[in-house]
Amino acid sequence: MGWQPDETVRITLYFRDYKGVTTLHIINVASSLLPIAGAFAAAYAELFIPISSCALWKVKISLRYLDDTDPAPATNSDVNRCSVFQFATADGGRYDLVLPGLVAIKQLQPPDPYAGVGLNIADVDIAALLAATVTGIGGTAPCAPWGPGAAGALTWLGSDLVGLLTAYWGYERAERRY
Amino acid sequence: MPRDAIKYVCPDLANTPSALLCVPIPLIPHFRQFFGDMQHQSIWQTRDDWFNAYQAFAEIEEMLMAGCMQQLIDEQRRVYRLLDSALNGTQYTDVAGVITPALTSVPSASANTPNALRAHVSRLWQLAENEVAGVTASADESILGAPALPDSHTVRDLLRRLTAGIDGNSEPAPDDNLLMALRGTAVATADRNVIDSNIAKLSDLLTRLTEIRDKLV
Repeated sequence: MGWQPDETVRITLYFRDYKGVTTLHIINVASSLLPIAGAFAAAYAELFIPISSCALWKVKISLRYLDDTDPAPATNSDVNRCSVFQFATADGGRYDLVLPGLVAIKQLQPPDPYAGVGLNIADVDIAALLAATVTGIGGTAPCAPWGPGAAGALTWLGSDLVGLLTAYWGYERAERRY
Repeated sequence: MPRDAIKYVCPDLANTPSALLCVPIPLIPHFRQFFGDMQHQSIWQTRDDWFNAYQAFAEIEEMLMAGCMQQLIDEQRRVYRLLDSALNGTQYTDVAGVITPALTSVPSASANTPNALRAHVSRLWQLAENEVAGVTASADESILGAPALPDSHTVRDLLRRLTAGIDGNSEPAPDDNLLMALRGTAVATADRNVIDSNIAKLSDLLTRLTEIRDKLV
């Protein structure tokens, strides 16, 4: 079958106390109600205001997709080994795109001095992934995690990515995702 | 990190000295965890602190992947292009990071573009030689669009014409050169010339004026 939407939409409410410590509360609605999940979440969150001394500062609505074939990871797979693609930005800065997982055959090979560490950015699979990450797929473009959310190239502090500077693999904390 | 933990302030990194660190390439993947920590927004006090620190550590990452040398090489190339532009007049363009023309292994043997320092120096040398020694230069020689430098109206030509005007020197003498005018049209000799004749005439005139004065007294 492949990728299938989960049966429920998850609505997560984030609370924070005066010490800055956060906690969360989750409620689910049927996935068919996704178009109105935002309105439901807003109304639901309002009900906490009279009874909670904590600040309700964020609500997240998510619909999970699951691969029902449950693919098995490779025996040498390691979520801590990530691919790091560093881009130049239009404002002269840099942006590190860190993607989980790494296939060893995508590394530079001898006699390159960075063999085993640098990534072969000419590899067609890497090029395809970078193109999709930066410019999108089939007319659907990713947008910055902030701002108006308009379709466009992935941006970093409002600046477009203008060129790949370097790529290598590195150990990254598993809980950190970009 | 707890939200009330002390957060870092990114120091001012402009114009600060740097330390060179040699990292064995196989260890670079282990540095990524450190970079990831340093680029995490939550450990920095302000958004500007985070942004500046993120950029600084990202730059170190790039240098690690460039053998610490790419920046030095780039700076050397900038210096070469500066010299090439000044000395040879080569015009470089930068379009989206692609700089043309590509650097050549050796500079051109000669440069005659209008803004080349070599061409201007060569032209100044030609002007000096032309002015003093009358060395000629054709148009467009050494510098584009420059007029030809003939052996006329030069210091050398002026001196030559002056000496020719006085006594002919070794140059073809005009018929009315100065000495001939003073000496008369004949060729000057030791016992006949206009100057001695005039002095004699002036002496006669003085004698006659003296006689007239004595008669009047």
